[in-house]
Amino acid sequence: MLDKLRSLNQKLIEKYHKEKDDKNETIQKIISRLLKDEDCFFKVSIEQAFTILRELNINKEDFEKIYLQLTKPKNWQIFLTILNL
Amino acid sequence: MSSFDVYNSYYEKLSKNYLIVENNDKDFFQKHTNKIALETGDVSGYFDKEAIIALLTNYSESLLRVANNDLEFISVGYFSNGDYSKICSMKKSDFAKLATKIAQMGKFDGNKEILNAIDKLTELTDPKKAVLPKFNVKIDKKKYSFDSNTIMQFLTDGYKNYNFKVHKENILGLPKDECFFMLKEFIYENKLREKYVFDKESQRFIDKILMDAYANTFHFNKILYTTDENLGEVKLDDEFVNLILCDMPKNYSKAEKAIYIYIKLCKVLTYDPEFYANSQKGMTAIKHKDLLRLETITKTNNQIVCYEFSQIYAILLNMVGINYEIIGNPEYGIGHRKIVFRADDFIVSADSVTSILGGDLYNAKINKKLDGLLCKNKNKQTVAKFNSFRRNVYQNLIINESSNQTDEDVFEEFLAMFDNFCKKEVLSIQQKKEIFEKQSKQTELPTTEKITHLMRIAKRIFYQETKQKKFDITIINGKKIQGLEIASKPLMVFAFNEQTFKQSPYYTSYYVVQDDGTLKEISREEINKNFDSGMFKYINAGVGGVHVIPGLQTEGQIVR
Repeated sequence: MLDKLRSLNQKLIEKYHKEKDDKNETIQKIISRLLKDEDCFFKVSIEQAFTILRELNINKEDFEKIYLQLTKPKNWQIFLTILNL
Repeated sequence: MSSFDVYNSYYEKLSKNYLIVENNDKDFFQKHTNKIALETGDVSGYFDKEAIIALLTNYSESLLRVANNDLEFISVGYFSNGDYSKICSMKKSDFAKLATKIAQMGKFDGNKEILNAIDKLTELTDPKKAVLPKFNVKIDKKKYSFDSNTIMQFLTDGYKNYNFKVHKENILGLPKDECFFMLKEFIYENKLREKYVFDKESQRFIDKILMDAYANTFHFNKILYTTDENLGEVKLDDEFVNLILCDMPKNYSKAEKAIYIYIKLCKVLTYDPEFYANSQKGMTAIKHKDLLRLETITKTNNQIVCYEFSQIYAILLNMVGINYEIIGNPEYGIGHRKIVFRADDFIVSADSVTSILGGDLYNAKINKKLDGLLCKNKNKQTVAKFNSFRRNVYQNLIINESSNQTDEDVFEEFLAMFDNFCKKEVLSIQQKKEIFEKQSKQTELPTTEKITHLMRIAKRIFYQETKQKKFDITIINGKKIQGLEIASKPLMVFAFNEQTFKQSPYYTSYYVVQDDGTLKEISREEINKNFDSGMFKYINAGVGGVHVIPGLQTEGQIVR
């Protein structure tokens, strides 16, 4: 999911750069820096998280669903399988 | 010609431009030259009401002769020992306004001569009746010529047909900014405000033109060329130039390039501490006076003083095609120097050393707001545009600088920038509780790890409330009866307060996170009852002591 957001973000950087929309391009570059951190959504408040999703042009109805997905712990059962436990 | 004739001829010439009063009257007029406002109007002038009445009553012929000349003032004086001495001057427009207002008060009722003089004065100061020569103006390197009547008609009436906020086409044959510059020059050169009485609306229009309220005109005819005797005398080190310019975006406008170079220089260069410590004197001062020293400036040999910074910046501005002026002592190495340059439509002042301890040489290094790079234009939208460029170029530099850094400080810095740029989404407490419950239900982890994860999530979801001391989480030992045994189990307790725990502890509401992930409300009394019965117990977490549930009043516990 985080990779999807990064991809969206990259497309928006290119779009705003082409349109010479400096302010939005800068916002996307800041988001890009935040998204570089794998733990990004564990370091921002929920308000900031929703704002990031809004700036990535995600529909408001999907904020909650995506936020839950981003803050879901990686399934530890899968790790046990990988470790052959 | 006799001396008497010479004297008469001199007097005649003078009386065309100056209203000369009798020596008997000079004391009266001296006394009545305070600047006051008429009680019935908003006009103030150098002559008071009594002086105006006296001039109109006793000197109306001279007054009209003087009002008919080309000067913008009505000057009143007297002759003494063959010399003219001025008593006072007043703008023609103000004089006419005052005279009209006095007449409207009924002061001259019945006096035809004075009323005729006032009518004549009104006519002479009527902008619609003005006869002015062709108006020639230079705007940057182009020359223009205009019919003055057309311009006057525009200033008194024609402007009402325009909405200047949205108007994009030419006005009076010129682009908007150029047109308003031309109007400003016309107003100043013909001294319109001093010589003519405009109606209130036109007067307001003229005042706003002069404030650059409608257009950006401040930059015209300014800094069209660079004249700097030092420009060709020194060549900066190639590596140093590359250090400053290499990452500068190619598509930047001139203004953005100027901002970028300024910030980079402030980040790389540093104020010579020895020069500062020696109060800018002594041997260290001598070394800085050598212009050729600039050729040795590199990333590591980077100590400079104000005039060196200005000269380095000047050379780089010239490289990117920007004209500038150096402000300060004409002799290099003496006194403070800064730069003013013209980039696109901006006139910008650059001073990296507004103070030695605290100027932009410091600010840029810690990514603090710059205070030495200022747009001097009068038009507010133009200044706002420049400030936006400055902010964006600065932010982009910071972002690119830290693109390879991953530490927490950088994350927090970017988060702060994000908050500055974007208005935050708002969620209600109820929405947050629902989201937490959903997260809690979907978290499939063993108990202790689940609690760790949910605490982490809760701190993010209720971050605002935690900061405002309206939310708290406590993990307690919540015992459960299982058959014949009592099992201990960590239990999350949430505390919510609409004000703060300290302000109104008794208005705290409590929730426990149940096994299925839902939040169940629990009363203070029930919590205390469980603590009293031993079903609830605080967990001693070791270093830092016990974290207690806020807002409870139980003996031995602290109310948060």
